[in-house]
Formats: sequence, structure tokens, C-alpha cells
Amino acid sequence: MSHTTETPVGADFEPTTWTGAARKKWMRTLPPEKMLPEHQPSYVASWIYVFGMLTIVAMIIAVASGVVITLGGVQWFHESSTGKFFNSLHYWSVQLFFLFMVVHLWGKYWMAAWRGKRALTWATGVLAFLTAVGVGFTGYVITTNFNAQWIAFEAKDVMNAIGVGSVFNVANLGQMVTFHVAPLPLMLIVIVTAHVLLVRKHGVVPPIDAIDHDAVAPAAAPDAETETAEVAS
Amino acid sequence: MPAVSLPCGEAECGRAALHAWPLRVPWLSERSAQPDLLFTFLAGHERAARESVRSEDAWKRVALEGSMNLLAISLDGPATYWQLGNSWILVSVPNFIMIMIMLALFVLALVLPFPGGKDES
Repeated sequence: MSHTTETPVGADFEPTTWTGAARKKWMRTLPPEKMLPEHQPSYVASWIYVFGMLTIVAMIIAVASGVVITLGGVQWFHESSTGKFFNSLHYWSVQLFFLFMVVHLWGKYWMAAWRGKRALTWATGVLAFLTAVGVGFTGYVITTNFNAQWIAFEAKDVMNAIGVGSVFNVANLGQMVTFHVAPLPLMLIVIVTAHVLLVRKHGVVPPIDAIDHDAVAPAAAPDAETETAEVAS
Repeated sequence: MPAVSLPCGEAECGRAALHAWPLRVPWLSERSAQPDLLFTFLAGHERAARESVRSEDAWKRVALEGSMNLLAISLDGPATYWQLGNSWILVSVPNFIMIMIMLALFVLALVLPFPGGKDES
């Protein structure tokens, strides 16, 4: 069995295949030190920078518990104590997800987080928020209690008013279940993944009065230690 | 567990309980009870609640089993809404509480020192 030695991606690497070209582009855009950094600027040592990750953790728990209760089935998660536990875990992780996401949103808004070529990062964040509202909405609707019916028939008028009522029918329980367990969560995961990759690419946004390490060209960047001290002072 | 007859209607006891519980949490954390007993306590009828359980052991068992019920607030009904005068500002109490929690978290995240963070002074 022969092994092919791959040429490392360097400045002189000339790809001859689309996979090689994709690798070169990926390595230029997101080299390992950006993708999985070991250090962050000093201003990241603040609680306000924690809420993005808290949101993701809550989302992971919500998705995982959602998978469990979907596999277990309605009767299981309504009647067995383990099922009830996972049902509650799903509900409360979603509450925390939205709570953390809103605080994250406020933090980034007041930081003007679209600075330093981060407009797409901000836009994917907004898109993630809107998609999450959709996931949350369909989740509430499929509980089929009085609250769900109230929400559904209030939303029905909105959907009809914006002209999508015929394809997104909130009174169609089967369609709402499908939207809640498949396309919307998958969209959310894809958008959040893109959001995180963009954060890795452009770096976390600094406070307004701090130097943006990631927006400064490497040649023009001052000495890192001096800069960190300036930021902290 | 013997049945307990509430000293008031369920809704009335429930309202009384909601008004009373913040004042009695330390006491209730040691010996709470099933919801109907809980309502009875919180409505200020401790003797009636105690008398409904025959022995001290049974009382402790009920208290233990019911301790988690302290966390349960009935959500099986419409929320109360607050409106600012006759203005368009209308918010449900649960949503208002959540917004206040988020605001508090936001402010705390800005002002609390981060462990391991650099001393900015």
C-alpha cells in the first residue's frame, strides 16, 4: 500500500485539483491558529464576552434533548419520569438559549460589533436570531395546549397578511412538527456554525476604545505586549 | 397522604400563596409540602395543614416529597398584564420579569470583574 505525501499549504502551493484549491483557500482564510486560537486579547476577559458561548452551550443542550424526546416519542416524554426530565431539559435550555442570546445581542449592539469588516458576522447573528424565533415559535405551537392554539391562531393572521399562509400553515400540526424538528434547527445549526467561523476569521470585536488586533495589518501592528498593555490601561 | 380540605378555594389559596411565599421561604425550605398543603400553609393555616398529616414521620415524608413543589408555579392560566396608563406599552408580568433578568445580567456582565482578568487599574 503506497502513501502519497501531501504538499503543505504554503505560499508556493499551486493546487491542481478543486480539493487542493479549496484547501488552499480554507488555510488562507482560517489557518489553524485562527480556527483554534490559544490566546485572546485581554479585553476578552470580561463577562460580556461569555454570553455567545453560553448561547451555543444552551443550543447544544436544546438540540440534544430535542433529539432524545423526538426519538422517545410524545407518550414517553409526557408520562415517564425520564421523559419528563428530558422534556423539561429541552424547554428550559431553550429559555436559557434565548436569554443568553438577547444579552449577547445587546452586548454586541452597544459594542457596534459590525466594525472591522465584521458586517457578515453581525448579519449571520441577526439571521440566527430570526431563525431561532422560528424554531421557538414552532416549538410552542406543537405543544397543542391552549397557549399553543392561541399563538397559532394569532400567528395565522400574520402569516396570511404577509402572504405565506398557504405554504406555512400554523394550523397544520404535522407541518409545524416537521419544521420544528428538521429544517429550522438544521438551518439554525448551519447559520450558527457560519457565525462562529466568521468570528474566528475576523476575531472577536474589541470594545470601542480598544485597538482592534484583527483589523490591523500584521506589518503595521505594534508589538503585541505593548498593545495588550495599552488595551488594559 | 390523607386528603386536605383547603381553607379557601384553590384559586383564592393560590393567590394567597403567591403573596405569602417570599416572606416564608427560609421556613418552607425545611418543611414544605404537596401543593394543596403548601397552599394551606402559605395562606396562614399551618395548624390545619399539620393536623391533616397524622404523625411527625409522615409529616417529614410529605415535606421532603413536596420540597420540589416550591419551585412549581402554576402556569396553567393567562398571565397578568401591565399597561402604562392608557399608552401602547403593554407587557405581561412573566415577560417583564424576563426582561428585567436579562437587563440585570447585562449590567452585571459589564461591571463584575472577570476571574483571571487583568487588573485594569
